[in-house]
Amino acid sequence: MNKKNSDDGREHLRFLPREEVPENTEEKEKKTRGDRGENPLRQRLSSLLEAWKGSFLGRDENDEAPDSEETSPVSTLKGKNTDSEKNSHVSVPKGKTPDSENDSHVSAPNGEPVATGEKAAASEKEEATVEAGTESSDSAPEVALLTPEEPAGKPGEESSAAEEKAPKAESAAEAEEPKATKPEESADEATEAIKSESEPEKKDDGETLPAPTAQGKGRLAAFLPMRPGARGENRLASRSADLLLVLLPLTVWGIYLFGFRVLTLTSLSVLSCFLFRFLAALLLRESYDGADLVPAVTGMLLALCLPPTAPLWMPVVGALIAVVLADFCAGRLSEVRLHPVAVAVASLFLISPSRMNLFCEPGTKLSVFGWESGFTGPTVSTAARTLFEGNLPKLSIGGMFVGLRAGTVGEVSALLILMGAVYLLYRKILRPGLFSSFLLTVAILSYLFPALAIASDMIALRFAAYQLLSGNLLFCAVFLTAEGGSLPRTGRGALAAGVIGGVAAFLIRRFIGPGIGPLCAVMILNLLSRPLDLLLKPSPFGGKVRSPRKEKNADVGNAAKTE
Amino acid sequence: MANSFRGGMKLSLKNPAANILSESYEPSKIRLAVPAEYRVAVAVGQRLAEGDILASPKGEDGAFLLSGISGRVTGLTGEDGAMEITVENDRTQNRSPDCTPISDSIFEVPTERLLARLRRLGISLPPRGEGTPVCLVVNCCEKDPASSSVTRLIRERAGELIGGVKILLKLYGIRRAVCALPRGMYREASELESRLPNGRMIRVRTVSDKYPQHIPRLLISSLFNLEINAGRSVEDAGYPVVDASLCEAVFSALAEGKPATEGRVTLTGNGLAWAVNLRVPYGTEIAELAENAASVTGAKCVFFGGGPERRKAPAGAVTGRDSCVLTFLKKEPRVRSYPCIGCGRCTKVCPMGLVPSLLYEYLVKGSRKGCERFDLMCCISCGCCTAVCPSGIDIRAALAEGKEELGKPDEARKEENGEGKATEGEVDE
Repeated sequence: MNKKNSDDGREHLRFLPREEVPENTEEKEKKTRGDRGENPLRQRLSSLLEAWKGSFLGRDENDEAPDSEETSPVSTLKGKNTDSEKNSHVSVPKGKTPDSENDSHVSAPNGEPVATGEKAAASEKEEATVEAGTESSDSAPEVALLTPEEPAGKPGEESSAAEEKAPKAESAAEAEEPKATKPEESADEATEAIKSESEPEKKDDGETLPAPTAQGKGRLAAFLPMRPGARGENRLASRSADLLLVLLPLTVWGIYLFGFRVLTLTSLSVLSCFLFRFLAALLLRESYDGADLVPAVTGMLLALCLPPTAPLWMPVVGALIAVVLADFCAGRLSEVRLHPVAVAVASLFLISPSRMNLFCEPGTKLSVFGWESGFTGPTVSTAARTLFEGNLPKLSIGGMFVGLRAGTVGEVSALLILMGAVYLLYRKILRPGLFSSFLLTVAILSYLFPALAIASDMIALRFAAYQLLSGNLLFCAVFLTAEGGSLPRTGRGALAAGVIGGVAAFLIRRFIGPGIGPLCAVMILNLLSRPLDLLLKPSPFGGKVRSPRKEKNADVGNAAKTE
Repeated sequence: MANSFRGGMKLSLKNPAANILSESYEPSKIRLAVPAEYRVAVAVGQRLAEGDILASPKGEDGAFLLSGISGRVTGLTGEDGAMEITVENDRTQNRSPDCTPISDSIFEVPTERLLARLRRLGISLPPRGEGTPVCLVVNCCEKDPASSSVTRLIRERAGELIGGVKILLKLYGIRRAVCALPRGMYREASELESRLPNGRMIRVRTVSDKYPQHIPRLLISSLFNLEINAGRSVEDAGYPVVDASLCEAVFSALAEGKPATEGRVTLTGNGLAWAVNLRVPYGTEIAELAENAASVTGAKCVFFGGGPERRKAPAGAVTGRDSCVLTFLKKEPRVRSYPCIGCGRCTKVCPMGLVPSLLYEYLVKGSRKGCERFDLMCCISCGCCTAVCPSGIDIRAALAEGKEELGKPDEARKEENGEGKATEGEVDE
């Protein structure tokens, strides 16, 4: 029995592989038309299909040189059509019978009546609306579908004429179907309508979708992230670039406040980070090309942690410690990686505490390229130092927030740091749990245990605000917990780590010294990351599976027994 | 967490092929692998009609393996247990006389007869489960972000789908069914709703459109806020999950006599000019599809199979009802991978609540204990971790490998234990 008879009207859209085109195509066509040629829907669908296929081949041919035999039938087809095309706008697959079961690229019978220009021109609206009984009007949708994808090889006349025509068809379609209310839904409506009725809806479909080549690229980009490697060649580099992007305003602000010595320090630091990274890779015979930009981030962070008065050896030594010792040597060996910048800056605090605590007011003239900055002191008391000593700083909270104050290059502007934090949160580089629990813990502890003698509620509140804004607390909380060292990977672990780090930062700032507190807190976080992960492991979906092995063993045992 | 599950990824994408009508494609030949528990029922040279039996199951249950095209058997290769049947198409499109619709009202036919009919037409239903079934869940989520087979199925055959759900409710003996669609498929949801029977027997509910919502456990978690862990099957928990395509196939088989030999495939990707939805018989070779349906010669682009594994598919045939997306790309995407930076993003997206980066670390170290402690066996290989990893590590592949490794020696160990127990038992006796 013939399956087609029982089928629902879409089965006829079978197309054969190109090699196996039956020779008696005309006979078969007649037969098939006799069978089910009356259904205009079928004809429309097949014309759509032909248009689609034609568009493919047309593109193939134009994009890449026709190197194989497969493309040649199309070129012949095109050659045939171009003569009759002058009047009509139908381009590629016009000559085909809409109902042909075979692959008509090869056969391309021109015996069928073709949509002529007169007819198309005379009954534009008719075409656009109902029609479809005859083959001639069948080729109309092809116009609308094909023209956008018709490559530049075609003369401009045809395409432009067809473009003019297409919107008309669209408008006619809209006029006919009042249901289509929203323009963005029209494509969907159209596809639905293909099943039921009006053909111009299909045109609409073809129109609303972008041109195929563009569609292929643009829409694919949307779902490609699912495949590894498709989003970008180097994701770590893009992550590093994001970090560099948010660090750049801080550096610029530092240059504005303290002059171009900051630029010298930053570039020296970045360069030496790259240099040491390359040297380390060379020594261990690893291949490294620096494409991940991680040394640039390390160098920039390091420069931002230094006071602007730092001598030029400081970034170099810091880079050596950060890249070679902390990152390359220690980070490779153990599961736990301390943040290289935290380690480097803390080491510099140990190497030369006086230099690390030598701050100048904004606007002080510093030597740009000199080995020493030319500023010998006395050091300006920063807000963090004032708080450590038990006094409230003279600077207003607003001034501290904007950042017109003394301090290390990166820490002065809370505003810019917070803007960076927002961007990093948006890019999912900064983890909100860790960052917020860290800052919240410090704020609450500062409010509860202010270092001041007289503490009313308002003063305690101001103390807490100053604590948050002063020193490198905010800088460390945002940039040193974003990446670099090992941090807890579980959500609960990150929250707990934030609390522990906050307590550590508060205690060290209160009792040991202002500059080093947050750095130590970050290192403590790094050290605690693994135990916290193990301790606060999330429960798997549906809870832990309860010893399936024992049950199965029991089964096996039973089976053995029965045997 | 309403109508959602924890973890997962929001992929804000518009399906590239959702508005393109599906077409039927008839291949020049099909190549079907015969599963080990099947017996081949044809000989070389034998003429077949569409729906004729190629292989029959050795046991009582399991559906017959049918031919999706009419033609002649030209090849019967391979050893017993791993046979492969090739059928050359003769384009006559004859259908087997056995494939006839059930003439009586389906709801008056006894269940056994319906099941036997379904088996003959190539459909085996998922098991009913041990417990009392509560609700039948119809999974109308796409298996792959780029696929549009379910969308097309609902838009083209919504009535048949609902009819299939009704039949399945009778077969399973359940009184409630829920069709679960992602929020993005609201049009399809209203399409289905318009065809629902009166009463509250079948309902349509929308769930989150995060990836991987299509996994049965996550679907149940979204619908009923119930997490069923890996040690228990969803059927045993009382929620049998069937695919939308299965429902449609059941209806077509019983009401139209159509053998279930058709899979829906979406061809898409930047290697193609236009995405396309096809209905192809099982066993259609992908290379042929690429060349004829997509006009892409193999040399010009690489293509990938769909589903979570997303691996490069150089050859092979279409199997399965609607799992398939073929993505044609102009060139193979490459990613540079770096050591893990411990950012924790994989933990956040893991729908199973695992810590993929730690598991990866344990796998690299070869620590079996760590893997067990962090529930490696719960991994469902959805690939979310790989998709978000900023270091470009293919965590999914590593975990899948590790899972296999962890499974293997475990079995060996189990066997040893089992033998130990058995000997103990003997001693006891």
